[in-house]
Amino acid sequence: MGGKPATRVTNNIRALRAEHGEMTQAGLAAAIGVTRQTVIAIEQGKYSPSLEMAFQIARAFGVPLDEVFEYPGPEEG
Amino acid sequence: MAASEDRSADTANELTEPPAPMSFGERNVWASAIATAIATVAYLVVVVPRALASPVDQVDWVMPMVWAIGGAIVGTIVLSIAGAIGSEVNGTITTSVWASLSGRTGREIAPLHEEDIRDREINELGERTTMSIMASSLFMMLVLAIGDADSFWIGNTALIVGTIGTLAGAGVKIRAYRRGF
Repeated sequence: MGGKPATRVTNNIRALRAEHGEMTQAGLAAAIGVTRQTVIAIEQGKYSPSLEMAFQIARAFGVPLDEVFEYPGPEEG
Repeated sequence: MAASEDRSADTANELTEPPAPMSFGERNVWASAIATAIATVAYLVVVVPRALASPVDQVDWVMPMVWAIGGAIVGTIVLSIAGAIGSEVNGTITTSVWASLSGRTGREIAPLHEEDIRDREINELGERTTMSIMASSLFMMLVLAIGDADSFWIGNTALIVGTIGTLAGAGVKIRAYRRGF
């Protein structure tokens, strides 16, 4: 599902939603003030959120930013 | 990546939600592209035979072009409204079916008619393509005017290149919506 990601930034949003009482995509979208389609695009790696939105997502889960988003190093990518 | 691997992807995949409808922004891009394409083809179907049958300075192209431009604008609005209604109906049905199958409520479904920062960024991306092509049409019209070309060629260059710019911009936007950017 989703095809090739448009960004090298990976994320754990799906897993974090599962850990947070099966938070829905719509619930997360409402928490950060975007549409559900944008949450889906971020989850699938099709859209890199702004730094501000990334912090909002991390805050919605109550975790540090690097628990939500990861960027592979040269040896990994 | 250890943190992500520790978290169960299987658990995450069990999160079931109704299928997401096409976003408001993407629907409007499709509406604009379809209406523009149909209006331009209709215009060409009317004007090209006239241009082939008589000298271009005698071809009545102005009113067909006015109708084509007006039709594209009205068509975009009509298709956008139709798309919104269709999406609303489809979303209601899909949510009802999903709710009855999953035993969950659909009250958290996001509104279908809103735009956000991603829509605006995609729009700007597409508009840059459209504007760069439009700028080339201005240059072409200037060259035609300097060369004292008939107004037929100047007007039709504007329409055709404008259509190409609109459709190219729409293609960029749809690609961004579907494949990311």
